[in-house]
Amino acid sequence: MNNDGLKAETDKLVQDFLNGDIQAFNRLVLLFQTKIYNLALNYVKNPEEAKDLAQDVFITVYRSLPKLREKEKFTPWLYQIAINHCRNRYKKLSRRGYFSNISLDDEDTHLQLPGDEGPEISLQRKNTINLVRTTIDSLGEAEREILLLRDVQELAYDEISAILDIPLGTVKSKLNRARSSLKERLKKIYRDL
Amino acid sequence: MKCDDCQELFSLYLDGEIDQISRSEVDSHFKACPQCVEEWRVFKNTVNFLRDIPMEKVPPGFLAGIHEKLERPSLLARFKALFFGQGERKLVFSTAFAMLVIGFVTASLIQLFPFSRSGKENQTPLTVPSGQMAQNALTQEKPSLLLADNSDQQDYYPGVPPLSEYDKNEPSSFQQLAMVPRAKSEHPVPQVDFVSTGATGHATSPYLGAPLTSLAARNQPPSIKPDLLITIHSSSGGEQMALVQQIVKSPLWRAELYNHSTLLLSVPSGSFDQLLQICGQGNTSVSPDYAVNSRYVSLKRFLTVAIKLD
Repeated sequence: MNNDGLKAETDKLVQDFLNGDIQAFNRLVLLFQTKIYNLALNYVKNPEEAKDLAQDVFITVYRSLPKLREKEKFTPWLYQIAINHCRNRYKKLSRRGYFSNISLDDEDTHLQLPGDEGPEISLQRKNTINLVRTTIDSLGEAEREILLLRDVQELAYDEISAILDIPLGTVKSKLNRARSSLKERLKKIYRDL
Repeated sequence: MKCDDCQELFSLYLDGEIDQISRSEVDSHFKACPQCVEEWRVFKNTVNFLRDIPMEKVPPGFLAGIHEKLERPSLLARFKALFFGQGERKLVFSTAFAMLVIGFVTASLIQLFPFSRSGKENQTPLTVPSGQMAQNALTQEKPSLLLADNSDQQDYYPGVPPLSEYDKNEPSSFQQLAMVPRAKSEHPVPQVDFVSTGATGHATSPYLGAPLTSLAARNQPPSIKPDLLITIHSSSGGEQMALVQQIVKSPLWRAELYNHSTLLLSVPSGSFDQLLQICGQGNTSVSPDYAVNSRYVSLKRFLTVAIKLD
């Protein structure tokens, strides 16, 4: 589904939900659950915690959607809620020393890649992905968020500008800086990337 | 175009957000700068690799979990149910809450308005010191002047008599307790003061010339139980004193005056016969009688013998 198709589908589901169709909310969840769950996973690094966090995001959406004024801006609004929840949960867990107790090498934090590749390739790719994820985590919070929203969540520039509440020009410059920073850090590790 | 300017446009170039003029500038720079081409290659590979990372699958039961959480009452709803719901719980928590509120309000009121003596309460103090009760009974008809003066003051310490009740003008308020010096003993023991001797030393000490008090000077000498008592009977004054002098001067034992008519001797058991020999020269009697023979005297190392002048 392309972006326009997704937006049209989203707008329709939002309208149906506001008209009292609970199933429309379920379909909205199914449409965005993978993206929101992965966004949460990038913050909390634990599947259970990410699941709980993403569920909380959708509960907030369920309760607050009737208050949304510009119904056509559902996606940026959803991501705003998600980013706020993620930031708050991340701070809360950091205060408890949660991140000092988990490691990216844990089995739980490994990616479950599709099984169409051989085990050796899969392992090599898994290691590379973990390395890239670790490198992303080492970036600053602003750079990390903008990189995730653009290159992982595949959001448009204007959507990122609305979600993070920063000018479009800032989005462009920050994104270039974040990508260049990631490239330089990875270059040190993988010369042949 | 400089290399830095070119590399700043990489992001827009990759996303297709760059305008036509900038794109042609970057393209022409690439033709002239192989270093930027290499940087561009790494940049593009990095971003493409990031985009190719597959997303994690959502754990099963995700949607069901959302509905489960939605059906779970919120904290506010649970709080409301606790106090405004149905059943015994409501009663218990409501009562506890009400008691807490009443306690808090009472404590606040006491803090704001402490017990004050106003109106008629001024006439009768809450508590009166025991010594003053009789005084108050006598002067009950006319109110105390002291209390009247205090009527406009708040009593911050209910139950504790005001300071004015400790006034000197009311000697009957309290029992007078004074430090009474002890009666001096009849025989003062000379006190020793440890004063620095200084340059003059002990030459100026008042104790130098003072007579030493002997045991005989005491009214009640310590009770000593001698092993035996030898009484020298008075025959003629000269003979009695001559005998005493002979005993005192003997180097075989130690003699000390016990009182004006008694002499105490500490006689080594080996010298007891010599003492009996001296005593046998005069008119003497020995108590107990068997002591006349030294064989019957217990073999102490030292015998305590009292010589008494009759």
